[in-house]
This record gives sequence, structure tokens and C-alpha cells, in this order.
Amino acid sequence: MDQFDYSDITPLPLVEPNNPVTTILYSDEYKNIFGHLAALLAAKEYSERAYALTNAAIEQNAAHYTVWQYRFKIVVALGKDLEKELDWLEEIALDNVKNYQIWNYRQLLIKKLELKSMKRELPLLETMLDEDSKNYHVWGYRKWVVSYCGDYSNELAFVNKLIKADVYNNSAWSHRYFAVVNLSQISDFDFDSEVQYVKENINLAPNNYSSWNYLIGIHEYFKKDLTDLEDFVNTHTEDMLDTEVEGVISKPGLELLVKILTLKGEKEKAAKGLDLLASKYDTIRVNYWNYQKSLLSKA
Amino acid sequence: MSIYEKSKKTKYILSLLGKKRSAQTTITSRDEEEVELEQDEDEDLISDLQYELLSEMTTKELNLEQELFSQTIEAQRSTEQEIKTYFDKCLKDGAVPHLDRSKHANFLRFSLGQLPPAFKMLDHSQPWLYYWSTNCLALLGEEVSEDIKRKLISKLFTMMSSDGGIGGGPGQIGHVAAAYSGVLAFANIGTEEDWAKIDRKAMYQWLMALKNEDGSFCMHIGGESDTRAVYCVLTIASTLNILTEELIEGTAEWIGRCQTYEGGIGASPFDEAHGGYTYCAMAGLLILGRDTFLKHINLEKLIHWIAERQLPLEGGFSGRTNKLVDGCYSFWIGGLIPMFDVLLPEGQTTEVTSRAALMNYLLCACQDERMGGLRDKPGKMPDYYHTQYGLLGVIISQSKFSINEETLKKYSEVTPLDAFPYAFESTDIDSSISQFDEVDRVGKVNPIFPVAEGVINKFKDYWLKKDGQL
Repeated sequence: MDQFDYSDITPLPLVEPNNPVTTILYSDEYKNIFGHLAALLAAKEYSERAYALTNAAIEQNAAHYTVWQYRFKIVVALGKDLEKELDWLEEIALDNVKNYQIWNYRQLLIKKLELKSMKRELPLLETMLDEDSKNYHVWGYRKWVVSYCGDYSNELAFVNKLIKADVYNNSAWSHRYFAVVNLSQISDFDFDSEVQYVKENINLAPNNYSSWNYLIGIHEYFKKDLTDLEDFVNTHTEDMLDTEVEGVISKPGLELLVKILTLKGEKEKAAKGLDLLASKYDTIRVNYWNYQKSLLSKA
Repeated sequence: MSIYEKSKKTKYILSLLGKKRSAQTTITSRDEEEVELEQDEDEDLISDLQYELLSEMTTKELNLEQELFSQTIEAQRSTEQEIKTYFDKCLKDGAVPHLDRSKHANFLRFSLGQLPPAFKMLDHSQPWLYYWSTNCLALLGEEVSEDIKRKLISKLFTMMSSDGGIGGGPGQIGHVAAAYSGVLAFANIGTEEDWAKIDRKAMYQWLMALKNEDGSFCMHIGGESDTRAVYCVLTIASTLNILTEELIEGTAEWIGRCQTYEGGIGASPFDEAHGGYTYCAMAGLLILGRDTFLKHINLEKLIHWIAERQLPLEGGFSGRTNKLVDGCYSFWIGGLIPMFDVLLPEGQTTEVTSRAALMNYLLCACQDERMGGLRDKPGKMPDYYHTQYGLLGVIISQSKFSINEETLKKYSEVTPLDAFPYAFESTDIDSSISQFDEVDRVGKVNPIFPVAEGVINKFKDYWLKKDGQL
């Protein structure tokens, strides 16, 4: 706050005077920054000194949404270099991994710039997801910017890499679904090779719900018959219905087998699978499997 | 020897050793000590069912491939181990801890005073603090003085923003999450005189200004749009009786687009299914009624996804596939269970999760032994957010919900767009189903607007009368 003169500003109080109930004891520095900022905002002042103050404020509390909104108005009013603003934002992003405001602010800047290119987004998003590979806000932003640019060309290679690093990363599988659905609308899509990719990943980790859920998901989206998967499922649930199997089995595989048997009208076998899930393989969900069984008998 | 037999044997040995539930309160005098010991003698060991379940849980783990190495597996394994030590301790003590009401109440009361500078991280969310503390204290049956209530209400009025909404603090712009918690705090601790001072016209204009063309809403002017915003907006509008056709046009359709291939719901279309957003989307749709809900949501897929969220060892819920357990999902996911109570056809089983396992997680692993309050998981600090949503998880596990058709009819006549959430009724579930001790029973709650049962109806009725509809 030394850079500019704020002496004409009377800082607004952050707390109601003489009301000590549920009151945050702000540091003097915090009070000073945010008190001045609130006064400038109320006066609708869009100036360099206000801009400088938002820097200090975000450093104190990067989740303070009002500051971000104010900063955007200032940036637009002063005709600031928005590319430079993106540079600054990247530094802030790396220090504040779990933050909503950063990504919303970035959206505002990109839209203002009408920057329909993934070029500077890719390295940033890669670094952010490297840091925290299931970061919901970063994945959300990635989807937004990909859609905004209409450029889905980098997405499959990117999720392949993440799935290779951690086949259980459900965020990566969800993003894959987003990419595949959109890619299939703009170019030829090879469903069979996609299914092959998923199967290989299931073989690697047969109890991974992420890959099984995805497999079912794309079958439903592309209106393919789930019963096509019967042979594959059987390789993971072999003889489970007939013999006592010890050791590792595929629980999601057994669930899908039940689904397939139900679709084929083989109710008795399906019921047996549900019983096994309820009594042996998935006892925490005994209520759910019994519920499924009640649906089966009504079907 | 099977696990089951082993646990029986352990239990038998424990009972021979005379291990009993340890006394929970501090003994201050000789006389009290005798009383305390007498009470102690009366208390049974952990119930057979509870013991069986807990010892079974400790033998389970998520079936992730042992031979693979990845971040997900590492994190899951270490969480399971940590929680197992808590369960093992309970089994060794022969007791599941009680809900430590007085410690939690103390923890909550602390937030009514002056908070250290580190709380600046909640500077932009202050109405949440008022809502959480007063709500949890009320649910625990603890009194908050009139003086404190008056002061909190007075502070809330300093957060009314010039844009028509409620901000996170004085001088901040309106934010729908701040407004949501602010409105629920008003309902909880305000008087009719306070309510009359709320500028509903400005609030309505603000909500309309937040609306996007696709039916969704922004969190604040220029802010992000997601299912959380939709739920907050619908709650604010419904409870203040300013919900109109115009406001909700296209909104239910938009929520429907957020359901994912997994069955849960994400922040916006194509986002990953997530516990918090799923609650927001479902509760939001239910404000608009049963039919609207069923029209836009694939219920069976949703139920499957929710059932999948319960973890076999932990007993609590994860918010997404292959993510870790977190106490807050006891409500964001657990709070969806009442909705099945009222959405599935009559006569259908509506138990799709294990209430008892969830209760074990909350009581054994989520209570902070030192300062009170509830937490995400062992190793984490307790906070007000996890205290509220953990406590609500306890309540949901203890309640069975239904729709009072007469109440629904009454509200449908006067407020046809959003009558449904006002007709919820809860009854105590038999403590043997959730396997908890009766002394741990907490109050009742409305599952759509999480405040004590009756509070929100009184608030809504006030506006309905004021608007000449009732």
C-alpha cells in the first residue's frame, strides 16, 4: 500500500461497531487493505491505486469473490493488458490450488480477449493437474475452455497420460467421456477401439469402478447393447455364480453380469449374483442388493 | 476360525475381563463418583449387532488391486489404516463413543465470540458461520441467548448488499451461498419484525439478474454457474415466497443435463458426478416437486451411484468414485436418503445404504476428542462446516421421512410451484436399525432446507400470510 496515496480515503469498517458476537479479529494489515478497498468499491473508483490494492487483497484472501469482481471491472475500465493479467493469474493459480475464483476470473479474461486458442492453457492446466490430478475446479475450467475454443484435439492424449499414471483417476475418466461424446459429433469415432482401450484398463485393475462405469456409460450413450460385453465380463467373474471363488474377484464385473443376465431375462442367475453381492462380496450394500432383488422379482 | 467367530470370541474375552464403557464425564466429587459408577454398571456393553458390524467393517477394505501402485491406492490404503485404528480401539474398549454433545456445543459456542485472525479465510462467508453455529446448537437442543440472536441478526443486516442480495460481509457484493445461509439464519433466529425488513423485491431482481439463458444461475454478478447456485437460488426464492414461473424457466431441464453417466450429478453438464453438487441438484429439483424430479432424473442410476459411495471399511461416504471418505458427505450423500423414502413407490424398500455403518464412522472416527466438533476424517482438524454436516448425517441416520399428503395438499393450493419441501415429516427410526444408543438421538430436520423441523414452515407461512395466500 506504499506505492500510492490513499490518504483521502476513509476505510470502511469490516465489522459492525460495538457488536462483538461472531467477530473475526482481523489483523491491522487486513483491516487496512479491505477497509480501503470497500471504500473505493463503494465510490466506484476504477483506478491504478485500486488495482494495486486488489493485488494486496488477493494475497491476503484469494477466495474473496468481491475483490476479483472489482478487479475485473478495473482491468476493463483502465484498458489493462489482458495478456499480462493472464500471466499474473497463472502465478496466483499455482499458489492457490483449491480456489473457485481464479478459474472464473480466467474465464472472464479469456472471453474478453476472445482468445479461442488452447495454446497457453495447455501447459498451465497440465501443471495444475500434475499438482492435484482430481482438482474439480481445474477440470471444470478445462472443459469450459475446450468447449469455448471448440478444440477437442488434445484431450484424449492428455487423459490417456493421466489414466496411465493412475487408472483410478475418475476425473480423468469423466473428462474422457466429455471428450469422446464431443469428438464423436465432429468426426468419425471408432467405438470398438474405444471399448478395447477400456477393456485393457479393466484387465489391469478389475475392481476399478471408474473404468467399469465408463464402459457402461459409453454403451448407453452410443446405444450399444450391454449384452455384447457378456464374454468379456465372464473373464472377470468366471464361475463366480457356480463355485466358491477365493481371492480377488471383480465386484463391478459381477454387478455388470447381473445387469446383463437381467436384460437377457435370466432372472434366476441374476438373483444368485445379487445374493452373492449381498452376502459375500459387497456386504456393506446388502440393503441395496436386496432392493435390486425386489425390483428383479417385480420385473 | 471365521472373522465372525473370532469377533465373538474377542467379545467374550472382553466381557470376562469386565471391560465396560468408560465414564464420559469428569468426576468432581465423591458422591458423583458413586453415581457415575452406578450408571456405568447399568450400561451394557456395545450391543451385539453394533459390535458385529464394527468388527466386520474393520476386516473390509476397498477392493483396489494390491499389486498396482498409484496415488489413489496409496491415499485409500492409508486412510483405511488410520480409521481402522479408531475402530479397533472402540472394539477393544467395548464401546462406541456417544455423541459428545457438551463438547460439540462448546466448540460451537466458541464461534459466537471473537475469532482469531486466521478466520479471515471466512471473511467472505460470514453468514455461514451464523447459520452453522445457531443451527447446530438448536439441533443439539442448546439455548442461544436472545442477546446473541439480536446481535447476529443486526450483523446480517449490515451484509445486505446494494445489488439486492446478501454478501459474505459488510461492503461485499451479493453471493447466493451467503444469501442462502443468511436466509436460513434469519429463519432460525429472526423474529417477524426482522423478517419484515428483508427487501424481497430487491432480492428477486437480484436473483433474476443472476439467471443465465440456459436456466442455470450465477453465484454472484459475473460469477461461476453451477448446480450449487441453482439450489441456493431456489431455496432463497422458495422460502421467501418469491419463486415464480419466470425465475425457474428452464432450470429443471438444466439440472437434468448435469446428471452424468455414473448416475450422480456434477457442477454443470459433463462435469464429474460429485456428492455436494448431487445434493444441491436433487434438493433443488425436489423444491419444484416430485413429478419435476422424476421427469428429469434417472432415479435408478442415481440410487446406484449413491449406494456406491458408501465405503466398506470406513462406513462413511466418498464424494466421488475412487475418492476418500469425508464426514461432510454424511449429509451431502446421506441427506439424499430421505428423498428415496418419498420418491420410491409405496411398499418398496427404501433402505439402500447402511445407516449403522455411517453412524459408526461418525461416532468413532469423526468426533474430535480434544476440543469437540466433527471433522472430515481422523488426522484433520474439526471445523464448523464438518460439524454441521456430520451432525446432520447423524440426524438423517436416525430418521425416516415421509410426505404428509394433507400438508402437501394445503401448500399446493397456495403455493403450487414449490409446495413439496414443506410437506416433509420425519419419524424416529428404531435405534436398533441404526444401531445407536437412544441417548445419542438428536433433533429432527427438514432434509431440503437443513434447519430444525418446523422452522422453515413457520418462515414460509409468514410470507404466505403477508402475501395474502394463506
